[in-house]
Amino acid sequence: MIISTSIWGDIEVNEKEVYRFEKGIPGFEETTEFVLLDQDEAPFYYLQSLQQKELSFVLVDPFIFYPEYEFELPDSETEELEIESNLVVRSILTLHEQVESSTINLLAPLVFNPDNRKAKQVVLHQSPYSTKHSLQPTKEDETIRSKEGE
Amino acid sequence: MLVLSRKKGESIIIQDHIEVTVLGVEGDTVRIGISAPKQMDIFRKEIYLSIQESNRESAAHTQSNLDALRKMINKNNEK
Repeated sequence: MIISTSIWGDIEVNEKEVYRFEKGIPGFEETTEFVLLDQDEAPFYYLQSLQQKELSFVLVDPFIFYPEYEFELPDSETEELEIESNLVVRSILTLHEQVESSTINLLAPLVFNPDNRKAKQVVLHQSPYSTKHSLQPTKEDETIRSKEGE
Repeated sequence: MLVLSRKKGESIIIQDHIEVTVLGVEGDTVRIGISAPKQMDIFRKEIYLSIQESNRESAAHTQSNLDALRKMINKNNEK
């Protein structure tokens, strides 16, 4: 199928890459259909809205930047997304003019179920993470890690 | 906004399925227990607002930001 985007113009996407965010994404609750694009720029990915061509997010594989990143996906979320074994975790990047000062949202990862193409931004409760972690881990993050390891 | 008072241990029922109980009060802090269906998301408001704000900020990336990101990726790939 062909979709319109502000960034790439009209592009052809595979329907297998289309995900449904049943509850939208906080701040954009009305938008439920997104396509997860992999433009050969791993670990960076793009999430493009099907309904609003100007709405897109830059995503990263958080484990590449924070190998010790971990969270417990609550049973309620696993059930809601009907996750059996397959899942993909991506984090939203906030880009800055100085690309090095861009930040990763580790507090609210996006969880995708490739089997049924349901997805959700999961807000982690009782988590040491925040919405703004540096692309380059800082000393502060090291502290979180060592605390986590205790 | 509905305004009502409850004592410790008393509850409020919302739409048959949501029960909010006052577990305890200490100074100006109230501990609240919430029983709700699993698919219902419950957040501390300030956390939810911070995630909304962060998402709005992330969605506002520009072409020049993306170009800068691409340059960085290319540089890393060359290494």
